[in-house]
Amino acid sequence: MKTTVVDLSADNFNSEVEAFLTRLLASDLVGSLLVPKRTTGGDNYVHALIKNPALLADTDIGAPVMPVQAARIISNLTFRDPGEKIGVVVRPCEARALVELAKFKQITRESLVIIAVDCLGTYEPKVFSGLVKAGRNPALDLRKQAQAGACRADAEASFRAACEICEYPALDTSVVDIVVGIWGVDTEKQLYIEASDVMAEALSSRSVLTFNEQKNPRRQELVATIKGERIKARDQVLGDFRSRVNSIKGIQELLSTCLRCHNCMINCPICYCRECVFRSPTFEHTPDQYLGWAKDKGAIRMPANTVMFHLTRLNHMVISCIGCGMCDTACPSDIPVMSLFRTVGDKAQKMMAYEPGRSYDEPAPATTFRDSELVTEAGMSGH
Amino acid sequence: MSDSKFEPRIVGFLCHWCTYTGADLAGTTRQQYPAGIRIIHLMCSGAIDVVYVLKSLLDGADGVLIGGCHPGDCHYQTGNLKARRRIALLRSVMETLGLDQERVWLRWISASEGRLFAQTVREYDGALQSRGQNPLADEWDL
Repeated sequence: MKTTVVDLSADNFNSEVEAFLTRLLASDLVGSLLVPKRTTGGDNYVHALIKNPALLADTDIGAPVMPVQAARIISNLTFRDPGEKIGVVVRPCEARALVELAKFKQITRESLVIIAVDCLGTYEPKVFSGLVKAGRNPALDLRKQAQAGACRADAEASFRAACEICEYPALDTSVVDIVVGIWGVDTEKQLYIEASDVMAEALSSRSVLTFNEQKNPRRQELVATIKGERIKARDQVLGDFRSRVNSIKGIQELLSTCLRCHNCMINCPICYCRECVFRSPTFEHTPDQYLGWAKDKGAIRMPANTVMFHLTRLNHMVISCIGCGMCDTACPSDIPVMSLFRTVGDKAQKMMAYEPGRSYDEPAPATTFRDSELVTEAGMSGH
Repeated sequence: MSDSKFEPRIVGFLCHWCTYTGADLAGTTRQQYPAGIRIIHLMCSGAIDVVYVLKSLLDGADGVLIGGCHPGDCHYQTGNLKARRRIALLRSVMETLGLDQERVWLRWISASEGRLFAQTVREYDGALQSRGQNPLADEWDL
């Protein structure tokens, strides 16, 4: 890994980043860039796929809002070789989702230059929009705080629940090519960048960026502290959830207001199937089947299979759940889907000794096995 | 109903090459086992998707028995070991949410083990007798 501290020559942090991205786009390292850009409406940031460097204006790599999980977009762009390299600016949960999608062959890692930006927390899009309309600059407010320590949400808002318990406020260059550090950095004066050795060499040889090997000692320390606090918060949330949802009654209460819109599945970066079994002919039942089930039980909830939908989704992807909380954002009924997945995932991931998003080299647990394992967990000990 | 003895309903997902053939052998050699098991024939225990196990349980089956080849004997090399991962995961999900994981059993039974098949079904039937009816059988709101 190589590092560099750039003293801002431009007016501000965003302009310096824009200048860096402009040089990157002009180089042969990428043919396009995917960067969060202010919408025409002005109250939101969405990922824009940018070819023309002039349109890098109004981008903000740290806008604290995530209307879509970028890994989903990147899967659309690279599930087949796109024919050129795409530089993608993502937050840690999006980068970790990319690692999982690479294992499922839903992205082409070789087509990507992944730029991970330290994440200071995100607001729900409607909350973010409200703050902007009230005259705030949420990205700038958080960046100023991040120099000194943990970021607090605006007094009139709160971060997304997933962000409050996220143990990955920052990444290193093990699964991404470039890291833009914000924690502990005086972003009024400096831009801090880390890059893998290969990427650093590529960037320097093309004069995109010079690596002066200056480090930011505050960042590492601060990230470790924040991580510790988040783990404590996470264990609290998971513990509360466990004591609330620990029976079929708890599950029924949790899912009482589920609309069966499938939004949690549609917005989940890990739920990658082009055709979900719940939207396939397997679940296109005939009238007499419904009537038969209703006769057996006396009544059935309609539409049918609500609990089964969520239990099946848990089984299919909880091992790879990176906890981005897009399911929470997407749920029109405010069901704490993220807490459900994080709680179930905590136990399941430990059982498989698997940490989603950690490494491209660890196979997805469902695709592999060891000869002697999980005998007790599968309920087979003594047999 | 209250007078008659509780007879657990078991859904058996059995692999073609080992356990299903073992069940066949149990029949042809006149082994006795409870009639409450309904057998579904799969080509491999590794072909099971948990959606079908969950469907059985949520619809009120008292137990689900998945039968595969002993490790090393899988006709498709390692399907059974992948099934073991999937079932371990399913039971982990069930445990976290307070669902009775003993309503899912995975067992290795070979084509020559007709006696073991009959014995396993008797054993599971007994275990389910003592656990009682699957409480989900009476739940409409699922």
